Amino acid sequence: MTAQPAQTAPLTAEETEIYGWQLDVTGFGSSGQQQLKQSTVLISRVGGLGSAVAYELAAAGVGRLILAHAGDIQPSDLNRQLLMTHDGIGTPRIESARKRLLELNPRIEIIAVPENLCPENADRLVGMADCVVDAAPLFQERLAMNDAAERRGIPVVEAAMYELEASLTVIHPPQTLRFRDLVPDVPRGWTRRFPVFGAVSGSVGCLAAMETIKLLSGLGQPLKNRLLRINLRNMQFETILLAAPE
Amino acid sequence: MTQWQVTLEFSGPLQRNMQTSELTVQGSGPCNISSVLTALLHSQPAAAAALGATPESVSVTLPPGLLVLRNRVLLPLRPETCLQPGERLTLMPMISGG
Repeated sequence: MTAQPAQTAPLTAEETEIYGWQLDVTGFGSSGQQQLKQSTVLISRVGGLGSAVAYELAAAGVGRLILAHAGDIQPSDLNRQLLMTHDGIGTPRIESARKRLLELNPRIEIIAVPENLCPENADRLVGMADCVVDAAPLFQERLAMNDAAERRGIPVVEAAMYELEASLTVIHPPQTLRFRDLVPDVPRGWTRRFPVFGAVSGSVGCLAAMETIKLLSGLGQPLKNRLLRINLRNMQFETILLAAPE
Repeated sequence: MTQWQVTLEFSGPLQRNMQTSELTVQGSGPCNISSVLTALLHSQPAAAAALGATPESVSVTLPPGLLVLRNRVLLPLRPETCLQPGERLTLMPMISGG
């Protein structure tokens, strides 16, 4: 998404106080904050990665967050899914996420969808958003969301991790490659369960949140046609140039 | 027939399955993505399992989601993309962990 001229009500005194420290960021200011306030972001799953994304976007004051995640909290969620709690085991993940986010920032709107992204709901959910963040563990979900976003011209922040590695890029055709240029179909070698520390999914989640803020506010240079590759085992960060297909 | 060797670096599930971060593969004839992957999969069944591919399949189509990088630049994702003997490439399967 390209930042649009602000046509929103001025920030309230309370908002100016709460977001004051980020209003000081060069190139952001009140107009950037107003862009966040009027924006809607869809986050596909609020697990280890999406929890961190949602928390940071809520803290930053993105006006409306659509969270899509099915299922109930499991004990094995709790090493990384920071919006879930021990007391909530057996209850819907999405309700726990909504509650925790509103405790942090009651000024924002949360739309909690107890579904995972799929071809049947992708257009409906993506169509409600200005930007989407892909934090899903299955390529089927990533493909469905990217297909829908491409049809609607909506940017996707693509974030993923595996063990101590992570990757991050922004997909926004035709300015960038299509996700299907990188992943034409579901990779046969990928398995549903993956090795994960919460610190890894949380790290890339924070970076994905920053990319989202940049896209919404026009701040900085988002990772378009570039892929950030992170290896926390040896603390290597490198940016890969994603050349356009011939 | 021209002999060639190419050094491959691995990441993500590919590195985990192969239990090594790099390997040099050798072959003869055309040096391209297809022939290098064929050599790798012939000698390393663990790589075939990680990529869900066979030596025969990579001559026709690359495993979906496999990125081939040279000096941090994505190479065109086609089996016939030419490589230089002696060069070092990175094989990076796209990951989806959240």
